[in-house]
Amino acid sequence: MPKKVRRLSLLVALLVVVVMAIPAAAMAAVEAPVLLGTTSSYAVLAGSGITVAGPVNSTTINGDIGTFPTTSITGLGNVVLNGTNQDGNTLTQGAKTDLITAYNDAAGRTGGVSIVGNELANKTLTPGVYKAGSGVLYLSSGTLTLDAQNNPDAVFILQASSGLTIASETNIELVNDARFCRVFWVVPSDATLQTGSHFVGHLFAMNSIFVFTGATIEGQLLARNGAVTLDNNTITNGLCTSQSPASLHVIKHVINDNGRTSVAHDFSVHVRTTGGVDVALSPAAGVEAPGITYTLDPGTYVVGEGAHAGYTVSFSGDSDSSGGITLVAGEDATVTVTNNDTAQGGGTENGGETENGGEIPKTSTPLYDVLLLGVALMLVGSVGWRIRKLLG
Amino acid sequence: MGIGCFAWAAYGIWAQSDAQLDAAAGVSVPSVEPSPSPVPATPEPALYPEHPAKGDKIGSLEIPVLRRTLPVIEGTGAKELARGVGHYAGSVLPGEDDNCVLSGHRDTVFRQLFKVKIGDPLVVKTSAGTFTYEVKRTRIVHADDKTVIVPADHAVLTLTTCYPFNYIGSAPDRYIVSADLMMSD
Repeated sequence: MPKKVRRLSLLVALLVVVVMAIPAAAMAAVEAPVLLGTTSSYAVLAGSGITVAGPVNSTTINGDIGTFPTTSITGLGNVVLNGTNQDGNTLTQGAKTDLITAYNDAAGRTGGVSIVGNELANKTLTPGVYKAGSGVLYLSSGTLTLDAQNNPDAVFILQASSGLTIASETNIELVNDARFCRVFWVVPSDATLQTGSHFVGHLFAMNSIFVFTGATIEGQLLARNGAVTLDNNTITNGLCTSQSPASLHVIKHVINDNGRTSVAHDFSVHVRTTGGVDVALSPAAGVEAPGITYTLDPGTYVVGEGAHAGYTVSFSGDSDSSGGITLVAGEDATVTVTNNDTAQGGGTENGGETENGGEIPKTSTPLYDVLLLGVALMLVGSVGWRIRKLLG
Repeated sequence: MGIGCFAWAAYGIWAQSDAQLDAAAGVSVPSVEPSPSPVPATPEPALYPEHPAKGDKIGSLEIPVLRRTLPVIEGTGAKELARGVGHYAGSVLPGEDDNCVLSGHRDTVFRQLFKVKIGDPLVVKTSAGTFTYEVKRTRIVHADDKTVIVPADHAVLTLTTCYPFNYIGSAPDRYIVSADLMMSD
């Protein structure tokens, strides 16, 4: 009996540990995007050549193309290329190296959720890593929906264990702020995008990528070793736009080690664009930690302050030493503006700066009044003396 | 009695303006560079070791265009203004990075302040050195104007006196001369 109890309690303890571990694992599943390196400008990148079938100008490629070490591109005349043909040049060679890095990054993401039956048909996936079982991963019919849950930076990584087949007339749909540039497919074998399908994301294939008539791609086709074959397609490697805002916390910290008395809210804090335009909520009176929080579009900004005599200013935290800071989407940055009072001794009688709105001293003496009084009295006196003389 | 009043007032105006010259001549001598050695190049060293007490003679104000040198006294009460140009105690001292306010009687030390024009130099000598300002602006404001004695982000010298200059009674306005620091030795 005591043995049984002990075993039970051990089981309960184990269960508790497991239950606690699950949310921890789920929290760790916030994925960073896969860094594309110099592959990012390519719409089509291959290892053993590119072939484009179909009539003249029937395929549109928005982005660069290149292939290495086999540098043959067949059917280039069938392509409307809104990008640069980098063929097998050094840029392509560099991109091929970066592709290996990106591939390994995407393939190496752990904790993937199993894709039941290796089938994506009519499924809705939330952000995270998904892992296929052995065999080909299919989107065999209908629509695969990727739901970013209103986070435009949400990342989807889909790991095939062998090939990938996107069947005819299937669709991949992005909802709730999901973006093509945050979707990554890693395929250790061949990838096939069949007739009329619509594919979304960065496709890293170890071998070849076969794209059939009329398929459209929003993203990239990147084949490490094999070829890329196209036929009447549109491939768009567009800009990764509509980024989520960043948060900027500006803390104003005042040090009075020389006897001055200004506090944070005596200073005005500015957050300006590089063009010198104040952002919303700027300028504002300074606030000690946690400071003021600004919600800003990604970009470069300059933190500054209004003139305030008697204090030096320095910037620390995520900005450079003059308050410049570049925010990326979703970043949570903090800049501390520290004001240290300068040595004094002079200053004003109160020690600080010149007072604001002091009364201008009265600087009239009664001398003019007395002068006038004197003149008047002299006049009266002389007139009086004259009258008395006349009377006398 | 009338003659007496007239004589006293006239003497007062004459004597005060003249006395300034002597006083100024006396004060400018000790203010010449106390000792140049112990001034390390630390960031923003204090120009003045301590704030002067009310009534102290802190230096001199030279207005070359008027050919006058006036003593500068700490404080702007009647007593201080009777002795020369008063330094407004709620403002920083001459040469410091902020607005230094000097006030003087319109009928004595600053009687001819209206002759000072934009671009004219004003030289203040104190224990901290010689500060040369250049006049940037003159203006007339109401006596209760609150935009004159305000902080500044650089070294500014503000001269104030009452206006109109020959007003009988308590003058309703103030004449303001603003100058920027150009040079300090």
